[in-house]
Amino acid sequence: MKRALLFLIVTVAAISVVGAAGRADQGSAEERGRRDVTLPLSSSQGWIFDVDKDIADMFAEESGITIDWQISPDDQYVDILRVKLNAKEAPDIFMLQSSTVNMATELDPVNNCVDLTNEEWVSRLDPGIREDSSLNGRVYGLRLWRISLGSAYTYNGQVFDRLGLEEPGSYDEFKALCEELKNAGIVPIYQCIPAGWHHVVPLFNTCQRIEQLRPGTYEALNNNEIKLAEIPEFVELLGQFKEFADRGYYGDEYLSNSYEGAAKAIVEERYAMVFNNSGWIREVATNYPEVDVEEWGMFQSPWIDNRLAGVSTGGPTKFIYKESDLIEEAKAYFDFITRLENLELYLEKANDGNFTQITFPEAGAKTADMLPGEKQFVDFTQEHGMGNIMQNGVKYINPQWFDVGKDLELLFLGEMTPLEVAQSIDRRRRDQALALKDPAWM
Amino acid sequence: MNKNRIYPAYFMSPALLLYLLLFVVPGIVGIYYSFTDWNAFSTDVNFIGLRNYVEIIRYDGRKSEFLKYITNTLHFTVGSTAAKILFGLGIALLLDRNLIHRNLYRSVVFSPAILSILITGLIFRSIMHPTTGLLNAVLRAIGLDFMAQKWLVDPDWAMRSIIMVDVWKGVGYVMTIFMAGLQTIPSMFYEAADIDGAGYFTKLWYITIPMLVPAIKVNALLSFVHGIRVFELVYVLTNGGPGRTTEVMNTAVYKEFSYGIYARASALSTIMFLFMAICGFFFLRMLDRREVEL
Amino acid sequence: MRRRRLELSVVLGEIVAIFLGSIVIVPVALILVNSVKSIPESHAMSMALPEAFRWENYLVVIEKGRLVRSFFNSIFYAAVAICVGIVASSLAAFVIARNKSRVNRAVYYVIIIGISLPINYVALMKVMQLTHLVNSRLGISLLYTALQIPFSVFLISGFVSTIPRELDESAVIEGCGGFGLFSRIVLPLMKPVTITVMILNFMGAWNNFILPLYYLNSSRKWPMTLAVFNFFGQYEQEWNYVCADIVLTSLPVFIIYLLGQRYIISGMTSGAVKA
Repeated sequence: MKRALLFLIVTVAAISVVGAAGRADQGSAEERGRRDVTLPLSSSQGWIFDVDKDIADMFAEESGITIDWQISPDDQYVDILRVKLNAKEAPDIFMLQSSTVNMATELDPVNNCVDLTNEEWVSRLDPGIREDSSLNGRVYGLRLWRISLGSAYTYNGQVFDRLGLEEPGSYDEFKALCEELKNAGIVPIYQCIPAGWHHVVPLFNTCQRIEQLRPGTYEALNNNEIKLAEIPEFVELLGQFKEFADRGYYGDEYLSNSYEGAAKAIVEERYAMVFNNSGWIREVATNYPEVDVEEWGMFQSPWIDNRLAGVSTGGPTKFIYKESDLIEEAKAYFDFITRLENLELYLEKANDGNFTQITFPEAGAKTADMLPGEKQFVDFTQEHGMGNIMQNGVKYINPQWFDVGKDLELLFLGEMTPLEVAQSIDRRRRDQALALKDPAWM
Repeated sequence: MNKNRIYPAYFMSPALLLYLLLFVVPGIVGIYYSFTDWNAFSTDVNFIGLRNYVEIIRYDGRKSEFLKYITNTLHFTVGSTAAKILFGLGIALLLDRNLIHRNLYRSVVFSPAILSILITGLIFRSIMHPTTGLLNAVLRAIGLDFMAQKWLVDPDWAMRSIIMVDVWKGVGYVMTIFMAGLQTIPSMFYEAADIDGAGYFTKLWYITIPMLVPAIKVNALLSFVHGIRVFELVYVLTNGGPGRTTEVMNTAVYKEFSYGIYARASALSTIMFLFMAICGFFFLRMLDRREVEL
Repeated sequence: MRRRRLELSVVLGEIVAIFLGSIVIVPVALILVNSVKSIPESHAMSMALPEAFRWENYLVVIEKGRLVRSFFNSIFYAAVAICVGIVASSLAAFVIARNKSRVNRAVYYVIIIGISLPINYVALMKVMQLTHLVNSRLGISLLYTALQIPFSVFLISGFVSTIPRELDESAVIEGCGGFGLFSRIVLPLMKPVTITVMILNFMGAWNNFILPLYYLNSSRKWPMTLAVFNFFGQYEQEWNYVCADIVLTSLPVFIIYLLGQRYIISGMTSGAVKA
């Protein structure tokens, strides 16, 4: 009996020493005070630029708080973040694509995020953005990226000129144009499946056309009065995507192309165009000064005869985790990033200097640098109008972005039909709605 | 000599405690949760019977995609087990001849087993890239162009490629078990067969393989167990892609977990748990028989 | 000892063996070679030799990848897993091997079946949250320990069965019992299998990726496997740095392999084929 007791004591002692060691490590960080604090910030690869890290380094020098960057590859970030949020162990600062619809369903900001409404910088935010980063009047996130004019098919002007091609006004014209490109030995469209998100963009960035043809569709989807598989235009849109794959308009390498490789591929005339945000053309101009990008242009998504520019009201936003121990430090970081001189620095350097504005009007705007292609697109938009893209207007679309990507991949490979893809998207919407006990689905 | 005093039962308690709490209890509790609607978004948990399981098989009147994950897992398991046993046995037989650097070869072929699966996956992700990867580069360099494939991105080849990587990593272990087994075959069997004029393959078929049956069983079981539980290899090499053609059960569990749909994740885990418990039962019976023989 | 005849079959065998060996070595060589290249050179991840051997890549990776911190984390988790694991498994296996009562045999089977059982990650998350072990260093160490218990108990109990009972009996006559018997008589004799179990536990803990992925969320506490993955996420195209990271992460396990090869191999195969 004595031995049993001794044995038990030794075991308990061993485990408590280990536990104490673990806790001591956490405790000493606080005891050390404001110096040498590490503040984890998690983000997807595509949302952080070098200038973010430079600004964070300056912040560290001034305050002693170092940002600990936890960057994940684009196609895994959202899953990993959600696992952590669900485990109630999210990083102190995390980034997520925001928009009011998504905040309500994807994020549950009331329980997961610190209410930032009374922070100093909120009043300096563009009012439209402020509304988009808030739920029920409370602001939860800090966002720097503006509304972009949406994405467009940016094309190599020299190639188009040489082949006598014109910007298409309809799906049939688009198809004919791609056929000519293919016959000339150039792959019409650059797709990069490995990124996981890129090839989904044209899908939901064309749905404003559906809303145009059948007003009230977005709301009907949100009220579960109709399913995506029941909307003929949506299924037709998927069918058109597949048709292009069947006709070889995406080439042979789309399953292994990288997102970063688009510029080089189009400059070298191996590919003709890519569906990227309207500011991407300036990135090409900066990195390939020998190419006359002035000749390049862009046109809106012509799928299902769409002519509206798809506007994205959401953007990557920084949130502070409600259960964090470092809320004051995180707020201090936000204060630092929103200092006027740092905002100006961000506008100047971010995305290789391709942003024309950010969400704080006082940082100014860069209008003089617009390339002819961009200007032309802006004019076109003024003429034909804009519409809200689906992921910002319809619930339960954004969270399943990468899964839709996998569906599309299977569609291109011929392993799924357009109808099956639509049904698949509906199934995930239903799963999420039921888990959230959405009254429209119960 | 009171056995219970000098071999006290409480000696087993630390191991049992850790094992039960962190291993068995979650498995059992998970079975309960698989019959509920447990998710990340609300604290109340309601009993819903077999609905999760039904949805794994049929959803909305159509065949559910989860069924594919189960078949993928089985495809991986059976494929990699068969390949490892065949190659492992072959290499073991090869090295069993008195080759000069036998121990060196054994060391080298075994070494991938010590690498982390994650790192193996990262290495082969690069090697198997269709255009810039080493594998296709080498094939093209030696004129075997036609053998170059889009390894990890072609739906026909993706799972085969994952199996290939698993074989690269695991064949050394299987081979080592076979080599140990070969050592136990008394050479007089072979000598007697030689006297009777038996050829190489006759000896192989009638002496070697029957004597290796226990080793084959052990290798099959261990490989099977490892195959059903596969996660890291698939996650790093293809993340279930292209599309969902290589999605397996544990990657599906992770995905459902990340969506917050815990009950369905638990149902998938429970299916694996029950299946492996049955396999484990056979493993125990095999052990038992050998203990009796000893 | 058979006289080695230089037959055709032996020579052919050597050639095939060398070919197989190179299939194994080439990926490893690839990583080593690329770890000292410059960024543009390493893009293609080819076997071409680098222009200059940039050993400084390793320093860059250590700093950027926070490898010092994750190295100490990995060591800590592995150390705890080994210590607690050896103690718990040896004690349990000793008693199980010696006293074949019905209860003990039942316990043995319950533990052994763990070799084949999968983990229910979701339910385990709940358990970890309730016991406040989630996202804690202690928690992940205990998880690593629990994971190794089935196979360790299997190996050790097999080994203990080969130690003659007469030793126990004479010790008992001298007045030893229970813990004394274990620590003074049996444990020293168990050295080979103890070393094997320690090495296997170390490897299992060092190489594990999925458990920290689910249950260890703060990057301060990440072991090297998670750090390497995170590094890959950030520097995906800069293969030279990724390769250097891979080399550094695999080095400890590789050293252990070189030193303790026979223990590893004997351990992993002993249960399989009882000679």
